[in-house]
Amino acid sequence: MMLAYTDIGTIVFGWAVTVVGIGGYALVLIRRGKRLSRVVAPEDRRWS
Amino acid sequence: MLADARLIAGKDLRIELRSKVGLGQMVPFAVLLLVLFGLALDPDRGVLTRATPGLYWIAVLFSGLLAVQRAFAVEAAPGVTEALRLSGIDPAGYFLGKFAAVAVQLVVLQLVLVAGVVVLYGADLHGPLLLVATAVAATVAIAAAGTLYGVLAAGLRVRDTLVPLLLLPALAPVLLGATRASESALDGGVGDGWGWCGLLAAFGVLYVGFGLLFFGTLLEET
Amino acid sequence: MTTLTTTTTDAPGDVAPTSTGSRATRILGIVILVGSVIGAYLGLVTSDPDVIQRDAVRLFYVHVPVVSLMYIPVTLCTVASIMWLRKRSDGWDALASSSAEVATVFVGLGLVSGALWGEITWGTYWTWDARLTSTALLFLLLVGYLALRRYPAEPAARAKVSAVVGILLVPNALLVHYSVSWWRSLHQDATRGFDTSMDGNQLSTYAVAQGVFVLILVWLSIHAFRNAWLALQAERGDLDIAIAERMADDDATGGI
Repeated sequence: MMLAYTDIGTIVFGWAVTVVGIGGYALVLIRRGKRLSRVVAPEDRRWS
Repeated sequence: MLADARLIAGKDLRIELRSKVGLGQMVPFAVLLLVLFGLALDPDRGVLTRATPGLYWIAVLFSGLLAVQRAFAVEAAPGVTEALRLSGIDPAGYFLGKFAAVAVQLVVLQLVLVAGVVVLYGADLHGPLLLVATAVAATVAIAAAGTLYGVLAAGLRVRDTLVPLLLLPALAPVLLGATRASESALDGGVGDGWGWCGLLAAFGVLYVGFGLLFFGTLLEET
Repeated sequence: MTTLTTTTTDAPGDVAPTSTGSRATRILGIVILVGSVIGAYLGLVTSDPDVIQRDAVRLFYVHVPVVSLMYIPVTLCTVASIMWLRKRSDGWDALASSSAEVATVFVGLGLVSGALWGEITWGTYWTWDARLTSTALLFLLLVGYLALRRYPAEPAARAKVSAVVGILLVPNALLVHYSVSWWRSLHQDATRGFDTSMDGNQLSTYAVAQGVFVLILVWLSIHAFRNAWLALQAERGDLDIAIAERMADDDATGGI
């Protein structure tokens, strides 16, 4: 497939920043959640 | 409520009169800012004259921060908060008193700063009515928001770092409004000076309202 | 291209029994991953360039959903703060803190993608455009709120103080928005418009992107809320552990 369009660098960078920003924040949430889950009693984690 | 406010304001102003810590540091700091702006923006290129309203209000904001922090530093001694709570002083009155004391110091500060701007930057004070109205409205706005955010930090025993970070973005509309209104006055009524002045007044009223509303919550025991 | 799509958004992946994930959020996560891949393919490959914006419209597919959704968590933070003052329960405190966190991520990403879009369309990353300026100030307001939340303090005192600052978040954002808009409207280049004429293929791509970002907002909000809730319980359960947590967090972020 051909992706020859104007300002491709800026556009791909914009998408990458969004993906990394949201994905990175999601990973932080997952890891912090696992760490915190270990020190909290099961009755305070009613969703799992 | 008003009697309590007078009591607190009188107490704070007496402390300042005797210790001279607040104004003794705030006024020289403000003058220092004016001199530093002069060094940074070459006075011969006319930048300084055009930027005078903005620089003046930035100097007021930054020096006002010192007044706010000082106002709650005097309450930070161990046991003062508890003593205040036990004294039965109305929280709204306490807010108004603190607010009034900060406002009075801001007025004194601005008298010095206006003199400084006239002498150092050669500003011509056109439109005195609008200038005075702007100064009064902006003083109310800065003092009200400063008192509200100042006591937040006092409650957490956060000292000097957090208050500017919380207060300055919230005061951005005040900086904007006060600068535009002053520019309009100095330019001889060009632009919507009174409109901006109205914005400042609305901001001030809003924050005095917030203060009266929330001060009780902020002072209560946790 | 392939590298871009495979790294798209969040990956709940294999989750241990003890986590903030639940069956619903795992299914949601998979839907988001699939949706992101489809959205990326539509937006970066099959979408036609816009008549006016040309290929800059491709940034719109991430920028517009982010900025259109960012006011939701901001408002949620203020609402939760009001509710905390009324109910004084952990749930509302956790909701206020987690929405502010999600809001900061969205506003930050909106600023960056907006600046990049501006670079293509206006030829500059930053203009003192009303929308950009007030969004930047909103970002700073949120950063201040989060700094307050992260300050080591007694939980009850922190909840109380945060609630008041959280309540002021929306009024402050409105004051900033109206004053800045008024200020810029005095200048000739008041608010630079989003000149665009999306049609068929662009509109459907945008619709997919908007849908995916709504799901992302939901997923992030749920997980952030459970995180904040767990943090409160951990703090209550064992203050020592909580202090250690925060110190570890501070180390990771370079302190306050």
